[in-house]
Amino acid sequence: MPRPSRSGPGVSDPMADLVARAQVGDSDALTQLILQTEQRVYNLAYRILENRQEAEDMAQEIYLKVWRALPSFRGEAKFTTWLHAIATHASLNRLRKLKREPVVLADTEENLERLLARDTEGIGSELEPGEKAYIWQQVRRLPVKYALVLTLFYQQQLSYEEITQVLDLPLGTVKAQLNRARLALARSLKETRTP
Amino acid sequence: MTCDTLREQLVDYVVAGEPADDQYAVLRAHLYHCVQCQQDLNRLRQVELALRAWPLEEVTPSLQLRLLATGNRLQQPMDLYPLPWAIWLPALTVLIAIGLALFLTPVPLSIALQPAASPLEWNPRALSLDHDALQAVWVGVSVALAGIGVTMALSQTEMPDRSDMDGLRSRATHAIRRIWHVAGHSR
Repeated sequence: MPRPSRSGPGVSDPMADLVARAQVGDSDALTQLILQTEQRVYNLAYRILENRQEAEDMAQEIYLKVWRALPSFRGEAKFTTWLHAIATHASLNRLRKLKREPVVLADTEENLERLLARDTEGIGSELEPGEKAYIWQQVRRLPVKYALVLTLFYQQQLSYEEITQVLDLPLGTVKAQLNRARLALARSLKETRTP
Repeated sequence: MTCDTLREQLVDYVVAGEPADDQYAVLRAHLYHCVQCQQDLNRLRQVELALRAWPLEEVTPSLQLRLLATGNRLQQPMDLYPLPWAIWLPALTVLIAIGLALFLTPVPLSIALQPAASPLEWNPRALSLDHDALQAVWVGVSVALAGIGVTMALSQTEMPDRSDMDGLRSRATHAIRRIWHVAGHSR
């Protein structure tokens, strides 16, 4: 019989009971776990893959991976953190395969301001810099590692510590990437056009 | 303090909700007279507000049905889940290589299986040179096969991730438990 999940030291998991029931084959608990996490899993895959069909297929694959690995989940992190880690790495693997190029998550220097300049292609001219939708659209133009930390922090509402666990990156790197992305987005709101 | 040195702190200040504590006293004093940083502050506020209001896409009913169906598959025996080929194909290649090295070496079976009274009694010169040469070829082929297997695993675009390894581990545990269970009943 699989070991029931229990939260590790200092980890309080509101889903621990559902997870423990799912580990012993309770189908109602599985259904509840899906219903409570499906939107976040789908959106995470969508933010990484930027394609609805790919994201839907990915979400299905993620849950299959999760159920397959569930018996070995020991509650050392919160279930949602573990789920996010699986979802992120599976989606990044898929992205690497689609783009046929490496996706680097580690800290590197990029000129984000140039990527977000209004004169470069891909930005909707119908949106004004002050609009929220404009900023959401600008996030899509950032390299995937910046879009990923932004979505984990703001959309998925993970803490800095949870993001470090999901991405397996140092806390300083996560904070630096978030701040760099925020500053680049802020500068892209300047009215002056970048030559 | 210059604008550049305060920029990181400015981001933290906005993300923290612009608290009135002493930690940001120098920054607030700077903001009071620096027009450039005031503009940056306003833009960062806009960004923070927009990102906090960033909506999630809805899950369509058809996707929800597909996701719920994944739960039903858990009820099936674990053996029905296919392992990613990035795991099983290299593993199979390595197993074949080991098998070849063990069983296809031209050492006569009678010699190979005959227990020596003492390890010192075994004399490799008892084998002919041809046998040694063939043995080297077989071992070479086996090592090459193992190398191909490992290379295939490493050159995969889609490497097995942590959940695949967790799945493999839980399946191995499951198999050992079943063997243990069967062995316990047969005694």
